[in-house]
Amino acid sequence: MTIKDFMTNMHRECDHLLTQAEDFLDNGKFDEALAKYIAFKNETLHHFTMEEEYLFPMLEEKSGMGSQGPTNVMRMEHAQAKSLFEKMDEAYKAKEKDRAFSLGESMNILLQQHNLKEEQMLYTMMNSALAEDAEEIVTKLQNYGH
Amino acid sequence: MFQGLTLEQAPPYIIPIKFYLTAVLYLIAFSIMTFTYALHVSSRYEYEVIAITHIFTIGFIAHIMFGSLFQMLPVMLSTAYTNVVKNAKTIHIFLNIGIIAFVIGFLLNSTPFLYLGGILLALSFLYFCFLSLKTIFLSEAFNALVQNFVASFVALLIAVVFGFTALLGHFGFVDTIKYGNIHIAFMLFGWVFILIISVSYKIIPMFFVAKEFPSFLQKRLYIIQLILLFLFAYAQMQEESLLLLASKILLSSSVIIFAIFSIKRLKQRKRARKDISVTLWYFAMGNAILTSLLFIFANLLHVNISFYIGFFALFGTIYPLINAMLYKIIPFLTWFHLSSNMVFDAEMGNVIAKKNMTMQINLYFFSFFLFLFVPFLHSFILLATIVFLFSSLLLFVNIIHAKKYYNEYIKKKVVFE
Ligand SMILES: [Fe+2]
Ligand SMILES: [Fe+2]
Repeated sequence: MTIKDFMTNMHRECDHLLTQAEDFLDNGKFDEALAKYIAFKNETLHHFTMEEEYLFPMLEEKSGMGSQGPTNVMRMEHAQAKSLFEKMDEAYKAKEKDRAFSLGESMNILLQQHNLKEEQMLYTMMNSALAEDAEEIVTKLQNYGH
Repeated sequence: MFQGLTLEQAPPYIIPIKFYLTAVLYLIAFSIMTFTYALHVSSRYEYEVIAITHIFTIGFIAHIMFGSLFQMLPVMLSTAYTNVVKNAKTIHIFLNIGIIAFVIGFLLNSTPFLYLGGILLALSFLYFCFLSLKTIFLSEAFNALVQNFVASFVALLIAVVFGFTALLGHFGFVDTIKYGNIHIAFMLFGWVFILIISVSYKIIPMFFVAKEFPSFLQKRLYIIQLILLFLFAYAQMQEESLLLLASKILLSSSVIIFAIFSIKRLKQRKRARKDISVTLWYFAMGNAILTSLLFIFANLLHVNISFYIGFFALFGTIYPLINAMLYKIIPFLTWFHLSSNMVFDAEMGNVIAKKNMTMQINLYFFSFFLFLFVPFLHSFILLATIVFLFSSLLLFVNIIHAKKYYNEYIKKKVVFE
């Protein structure tokens, strides 16, 4: 498995968790919705950490792009997502269905366009720039933070 | 490798919004003009009809497409338009003087205005094509998405050339109807259709967390469509009626196939909650199928129902798709630009009130329904147009609201020294 495959799969898993949370929300099952939402949030934040603390610095160093280029734009979008999480926490806990859906909509589009850019550009660059150590990196990602 | 790639958020918020607001102004003008001329025209070749159609297609549709592409193409391809602020401004000005001159030219039957309009419009379209193709080639990718985009721009270039040639026909140089038909075919079955499918292949899986479209559609449909369009053009020029009929049927079949697949994809989407954009999409795709069937039968049975076909294609299919897209893209863009300026207390749900969006879309549905009675009672067209005028005004108000929301919140931006 390449770095790109691994990280892309993780994007898909996060998408899936959010849709599950919204399904519960739609059916008025607020406790299950909250649980799924928390799972989605934790998985997404874990993914951001893997990128910000491990993958991005490595790519910046290998490719010589520095920390002010594309990776910085990605960090900015992670910050935008985090600001949404704060609001989504409120909405899910207060069982504000409409607000939770509209925040979820922002979150979904934000992450989708963010993931698209990573998958098309950054992960593709990682696959070529970090090819030699790919296997080791993927193993490390699989056990990241555990 | 990767030169010219960027993840910077291009372009500034005001660019797509300016194009959208202008587009809706033309929609308002379209309603007023239809109201004014509706009872006096009888054929699609009358100058008033050509003028009104172009207010809708260039004034409304082209503005929306340009504004959206300035926004979406860079995100989808990770490349930016060069000099986007200046170029967008230039195109906006040329396009607007062009449309106004063109419409005046047809309404007053004035040769200088028609030439001026035609030339300015051709220049704006060609320049936009050039800029977009440059952006596409900078991405240095040649995947299915890029190929689809290139195909739609090729169709646009050809459509512009034939449109301009058809215009020369109004001064007696060429057979306008032949060139006009090729112009329409390349615009609708080429540029618009291929652009819609290219964007849908990406957007539907993303926005609705749905399965990807089958790869034979993504990789082959645009090629088939271009080949059919060339056959259509050849048959039209050589008056090969059998080939012409066959190409029309096949061109319409592509639309039906795409519509069916997109409905299937949406039915299996993972984000199960049904919002208004899903309803609009089903409605549009239903009309796309209906339009294609009408077109096929009209040609097989030799009946002249051009007005109905035009109505279902432009007003029943393309319009609701655009309306749905606007309500997805504008609230998101507004929120996105604010939060990327570190203004974190804005919320997408407050950018345009949900009840105002719903009311506007219901007005549109109502006017569509009223239009259906026009064949039985012609004066219904006046009522339908008035309802659509209100729908357009409300659409304008809704977009203005988004812009005001942005202006208000951006003041809270913290500037780090
Ligand atoms: Fe990321
Ligand atoms: Fe990521």
